[in-house]
Amino acid sequence: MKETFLGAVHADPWSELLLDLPALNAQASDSVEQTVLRLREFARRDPGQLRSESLVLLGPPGTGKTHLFARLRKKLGPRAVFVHIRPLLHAGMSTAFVLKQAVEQLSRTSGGRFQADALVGSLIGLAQSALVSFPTAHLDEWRSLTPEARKQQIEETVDALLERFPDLDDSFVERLLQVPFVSPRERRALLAWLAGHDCDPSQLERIGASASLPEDGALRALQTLGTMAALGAPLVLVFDQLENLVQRDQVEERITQYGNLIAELVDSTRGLLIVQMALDSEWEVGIEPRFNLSQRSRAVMKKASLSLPTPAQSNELLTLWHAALDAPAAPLPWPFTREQVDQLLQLPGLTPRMLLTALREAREGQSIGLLEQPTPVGSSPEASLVSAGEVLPEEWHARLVSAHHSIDSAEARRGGLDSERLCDGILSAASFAPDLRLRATQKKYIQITPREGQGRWVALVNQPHPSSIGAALRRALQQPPHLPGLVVREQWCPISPTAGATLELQDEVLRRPHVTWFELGREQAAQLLALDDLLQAARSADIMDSAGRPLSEELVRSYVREELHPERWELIRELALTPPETRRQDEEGERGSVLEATATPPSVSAHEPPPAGDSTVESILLRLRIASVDRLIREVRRLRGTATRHEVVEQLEGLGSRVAWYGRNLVEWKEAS
Amino acid sequence: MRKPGSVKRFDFRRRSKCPKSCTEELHGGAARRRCDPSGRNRTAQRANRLAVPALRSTMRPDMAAKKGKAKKSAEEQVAEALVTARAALVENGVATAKQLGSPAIRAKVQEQLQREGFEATAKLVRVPLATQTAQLLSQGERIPVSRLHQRLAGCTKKETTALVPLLVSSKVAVQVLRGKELVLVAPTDPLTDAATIAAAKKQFKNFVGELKKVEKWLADASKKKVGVLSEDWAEALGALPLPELHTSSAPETRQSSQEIAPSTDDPWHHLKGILVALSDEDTGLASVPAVVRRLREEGPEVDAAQALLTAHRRGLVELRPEGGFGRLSPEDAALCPKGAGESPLSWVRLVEGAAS
Repeated sequence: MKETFLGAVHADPWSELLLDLPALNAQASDSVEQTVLRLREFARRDPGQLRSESLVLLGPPGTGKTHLFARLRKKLGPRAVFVHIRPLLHAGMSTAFVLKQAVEQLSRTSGGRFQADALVGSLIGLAQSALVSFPTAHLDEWRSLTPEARKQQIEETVDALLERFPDLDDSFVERLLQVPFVSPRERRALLAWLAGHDCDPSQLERIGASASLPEDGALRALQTLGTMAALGAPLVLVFDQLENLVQRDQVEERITQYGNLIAELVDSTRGLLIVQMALDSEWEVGIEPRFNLSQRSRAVMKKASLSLPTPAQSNELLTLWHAALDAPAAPLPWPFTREQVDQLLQLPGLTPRMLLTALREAREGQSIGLLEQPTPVGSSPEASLVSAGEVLPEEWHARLVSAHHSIDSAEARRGGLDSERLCDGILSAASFAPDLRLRATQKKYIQITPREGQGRWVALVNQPHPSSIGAALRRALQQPPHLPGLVVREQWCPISPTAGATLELQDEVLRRPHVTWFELGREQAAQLLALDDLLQAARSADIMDSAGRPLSEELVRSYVREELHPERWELIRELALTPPETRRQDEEGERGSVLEATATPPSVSAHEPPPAGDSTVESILLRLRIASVDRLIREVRRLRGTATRHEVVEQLEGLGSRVAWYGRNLVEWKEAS
Repeated sequence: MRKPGSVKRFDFRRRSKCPKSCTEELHGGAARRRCDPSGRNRTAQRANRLAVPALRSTMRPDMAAKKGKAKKSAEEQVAEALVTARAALVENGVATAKQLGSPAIRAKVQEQLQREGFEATAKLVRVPLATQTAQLLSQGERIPVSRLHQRLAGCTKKETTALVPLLVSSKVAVQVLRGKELVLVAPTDPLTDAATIAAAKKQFKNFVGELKKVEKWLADASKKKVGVLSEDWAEALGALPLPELHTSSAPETRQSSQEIAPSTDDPWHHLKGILVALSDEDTGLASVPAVVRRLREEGPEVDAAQALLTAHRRGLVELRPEGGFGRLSPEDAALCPKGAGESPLSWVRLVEGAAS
């Protein structure tokens, strides 16, 4: 469908369908383009002069900041590698986060080719002093070589690069050069390693590595990536929606963290172009004044504001969009009348997004909100709530679907969820619980701590490699024993039954009286990610009512509070439980386990006591319906610490036909016929 | 035969020939007014009609003229001439010497019009040439320098020699080379600077070098009948810095010369000065509440929000909606004009090349 653009209120930075008016904000896109070309030129001709540069682009909501990203991506094609980064709502960004985003987006396609292919192809061309303008041809040439010959070529290229830039990380360079030539599975493993993800043993074996990228190696990896990219296709890091950095209660901390990150990137890396986009008011009043002089000199090398379309440009936009409609009934001004078009074009402060919303309304035969008698948002709470009530359920559903997609893709690459995003989602949901005051840490293993000394710390254990899980668990065990904590792991990533040492550590965690093991269900995880996404969009004024006016963040939060009840979500309830209660319930054996195999509707209590029965195993399985044997063992051990695997299996076998076995490790409860 | 010393008079009730070169038969006062071969006097006639309708309708013209002369003071004559001249300026952008009244009052009329912001030369008064140029450019026109005097009312070719550098230095227009001709365009039109052209040249040169390598390689392998894959060729061409077609960002609606003609009542000059003083160096943005407060300090009777909206309609400023979260206090929000969707327009920026 060509008309999908009508429904897209927020531009998709990776969309291949781009309806663009080049004259609009031509200066801003030209400025980025010139900088990219200059960086490439310096990298090739005068590496000593190669520096990272920063640029700030400002504009009101809906003026086309994200669209500009899509335009630049299309315009520069294989001449640059684009990375789109949205800041987290609560947690700070680190160089490891930036590296992860940069490498993950190398596998994005831009202009029909993988960004990694464009980068490596042009790099090979340059290293051979041959035809730099034909990256795909170079890749194809190398693909036709035998593996040995290709390996030799890669080694020679690495040597050539190291000769020119001795401080590069050679193993990073070598693995990056291998990316276009390996099988999809190896490619996935290579990208996971390059991104600094924790790789499982099979992935490490596949790429010939003994360990994952070290925790403190992110900055060096970014330095290497930036320098390599500058030679062929410079890396353009686009930090979008920076208004999300601003938070009423911890303004200084998050903005200072961000300023330090940018200063570190500019000082320590070469050849990066850092583009920062934000709402003009938020940047001018809330962000830039908080930078110190040193941060400002790095982050704000150049600053520009995006323009709103002139009446002539608005008219051209309408013509452009009209041409993209499916079977328009008549030429322009249809679906408007001429008077409506004239009125629209003369409206002061008209943004492209408002115009698009008006076109969609006219196309659907609705009245055009912008031309009706205005009802200011917020002037009547009832009217605003009605308006929000029409839009927000759809927005929530769309984000929930998107969150499920990201969970699926994480599962496909055999990795855990993006821990930063998940952590942000937990903090977003926790902000709706009245007595819960948590904060993000910059630590790798203990991601969340209570803000005022009371409450629980949270460790997200989402590593795929058993030894990494073990490291995370050991770190959790190092927490002072009197401090209550919660260890969260995705329910769909069970620890391998063969990883004995890790399972022992898990048992040790389970035995800690103040520590709770929480298995996060898919739906729960999706809700957390979707909530974070929704609140980010609200903060950036990207959620519009039916009249095209942005809904206020307060309105969106009140919708979430009234309709979604995050404070009742299982993980949040668990976090809100006071430790003495937890202990007492444990002792009394009354509390149902927080381990849920499937999503529980928020309104249903997850803490119902297990049904009475002679067998503990039976009651647990009755509740879970389907579970792995390991899971059952853990559940039983929570209630009776001395339980053994043998006892659990024996009880299961004793249940006879009421238990269906799938293989040796999966059981399902069957109702008696 | 006319007696010596007698005054020639026309009896408009009689059929007679027009005293000018026109051959049209005269049929009373109406035909007399219609008959104006040059067309120059129509505006003045209309202005006179408006000024003395009662005399015209009841008296014979000679009597009316006599009585009028007797009754009108110098001030009244100046006022009449000003009406005529302003009408001419609005209509044609220029008022000729004749439209400025009799030689006795002409100096006074010229002086008053100059105070209103019009330009005066020895022979005429006109809308300032810079303003006329800015208006034409804002409508998307591109004016060859050699034909500039033809497009500006009351401008001689000689004057354009001094005018063009002035227009460029004051950023009203930008001079570009189109073909072999120098052309004036709006400063908002995207330009390609020398550095870009030099970079493109370099890039093309490199590309040509690469092409030579390809050509050589193809020549060596010509016996094998080899070629270059179209998609590789397209990819290589796509990487070249080909210029994009930029459309003019001129406003669509045509403004009448009245709208852009400066006058003492026009708060634009005032506003522009304040915007320049308050705007951010990099982004060009100024806070609307700050601008409104400053405007009010200098003249409390000024409707500042209205002045901003008028400037926006004239394409002189860009008003931008508020994009912050509670950054605008209720007091500040009340100072901002309302825009699309009733959003407060809290930021303003001078449009490049706005009429000076």
